[in-house]
Amino acid sequence: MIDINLIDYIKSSLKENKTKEEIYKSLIENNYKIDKVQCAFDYAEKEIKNDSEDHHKKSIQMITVFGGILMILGILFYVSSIWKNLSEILRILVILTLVSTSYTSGWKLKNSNNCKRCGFALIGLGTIFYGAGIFFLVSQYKVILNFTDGTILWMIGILFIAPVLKFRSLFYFAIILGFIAVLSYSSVSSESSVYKSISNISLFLFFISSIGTFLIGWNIRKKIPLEIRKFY
Amino acid sequence: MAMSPSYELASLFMILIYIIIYIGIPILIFWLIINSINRKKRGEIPVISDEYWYTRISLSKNDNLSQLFFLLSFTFLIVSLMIIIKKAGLNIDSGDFLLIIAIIGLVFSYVLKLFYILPVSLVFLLGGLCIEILTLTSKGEINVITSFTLMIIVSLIFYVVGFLHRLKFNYKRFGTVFYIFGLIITNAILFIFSTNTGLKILENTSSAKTFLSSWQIILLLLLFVLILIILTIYATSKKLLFKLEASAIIIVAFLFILLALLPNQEILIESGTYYNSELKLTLIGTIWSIFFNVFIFLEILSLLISSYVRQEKWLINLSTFILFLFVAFKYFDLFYTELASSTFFLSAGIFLFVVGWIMTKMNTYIQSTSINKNEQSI
Repeated sequence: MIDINLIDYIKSSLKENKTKEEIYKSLIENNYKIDKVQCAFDYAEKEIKNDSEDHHKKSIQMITVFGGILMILGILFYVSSIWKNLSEILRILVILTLVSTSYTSGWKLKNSNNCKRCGFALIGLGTIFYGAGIFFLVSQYKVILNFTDGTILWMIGILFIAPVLKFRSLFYFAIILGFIAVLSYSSVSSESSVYKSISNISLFLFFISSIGTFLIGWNIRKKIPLEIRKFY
Repeated sequence: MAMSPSYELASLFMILIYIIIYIGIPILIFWLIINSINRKKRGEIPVISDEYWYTRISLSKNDNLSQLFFLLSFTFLIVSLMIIIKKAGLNIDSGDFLLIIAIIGLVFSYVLKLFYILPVSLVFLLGGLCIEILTLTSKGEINVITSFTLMIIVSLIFYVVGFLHRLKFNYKRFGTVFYIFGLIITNAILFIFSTNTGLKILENTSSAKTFLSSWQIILLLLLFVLILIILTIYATSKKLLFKLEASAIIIVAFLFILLALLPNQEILIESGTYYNSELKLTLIGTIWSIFFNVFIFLEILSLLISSYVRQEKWLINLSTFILFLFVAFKYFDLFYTELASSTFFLSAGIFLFVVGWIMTKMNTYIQSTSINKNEQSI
């Protein structure tokens, strides 16, 4: 058996810049056998090496994330500069490409061990592109949808994606969007044209969302362990 | 002159909003801070080994997420109902609508154990009751203080119901919500009456008719008082409330019933020029002001003592926070302009030091009594 305390002691001593001889000497004086000390040394050195490799990997990840953000910003600035010159179909294609690229690349990176955070960031970006796409289509084709309906559609889309991607933060984002939709509906004055324009689509969306969110909540509740569920 | 119904509605709604903003939100923030400090100190305690699990907002991450979805679903349902009512052209009063929503919410939260929907339903219930009571009082030109009397009785019922929930293990968390709601509203109403705004309400409304001229209000009041008395007696018999606590609850309820029956009186007078007028208390006004200030101070102090006797840390923290809020507000309100800044801060420090010393003494006394009890039981 390897003594964990011994490994910790060796690791801390090495970090304090003590020489190998000094550590050996002190341990043997404390009645430790040479074989055990040698074995613990090997482990301690391996762990220190892994730690430094982790730090190295993290710094590489940071640089990659930063690079990714800059690339995305560059693409966005380029698209916005040529946006006016694009035809309607091209605009839709650009949005679809942005959404699908961010989701697929995010999905791939999330499943790899190297850059999980990049994956999550790209999925988040895809979600924002998806929402922007909804509002763009509404304004482009003059669809009878108000802000509330658009936000609910955005929320519904996220609720379909979040369980597939197993991305918990997306659920919270969807909840925030849901509350924004409710607040935007209740803040509208009953005399305004927006209030009067509330159609059967709004009613349908609210009703569907009510049932849908309830079912999702119920499904998540089922995952709560039995030992906690006894408090219900 | 009695105030117009719309003014009364607006003013009571504003008071409800003030209660939520100025007392409810600080308490919520305070609760979250205490929770996070405790977690950092002791690490994440699993629910199973947490003595005060019923004071937790969520039992686990999944519990929090599912409860948030249920709350969202409930709000969507409310909006759907609002659209259906609008489209069907039904003419439902806002008070009735709020009560219907509150009942739906309460049924859902109790049957399916949807914890986050409970406080929202209680806010709707209070809002609905406020509107119904005000409609009744304004119809019969009854003084507004009757509305406060009814509201304080409702909040006292909440307080008692909060403790009654402790009879069933699974409903303890629901009880905490009722208890906190009762505590906030009772203290807020008492606090309002300890300020010039509250005293103005007392003066303005005592010129209108008393509730004795409306049989509907008498019936409602009787019903509420009867419920309060029965629940208080039951809770005391089950040893959930102390006898002194129960009698204090009944005293507060009857004090407000008496206030609603008071004859016309002059509490505030306007002094100064037309452009620079100032409201000053008359002799009766000063007596009322002293009475309410002493009364609320004693009420909060007794709350603190009862928490110590119950030996529940979270109750002690909560009542200490309410006491601190009250003392800080009153101190700034009364002495900030009157005293020199050095005297102001020095006397505040001494006062808090004395309060801290008393609390430490109480803590050691309770610890020694609990040790004695344990030794006796062994």
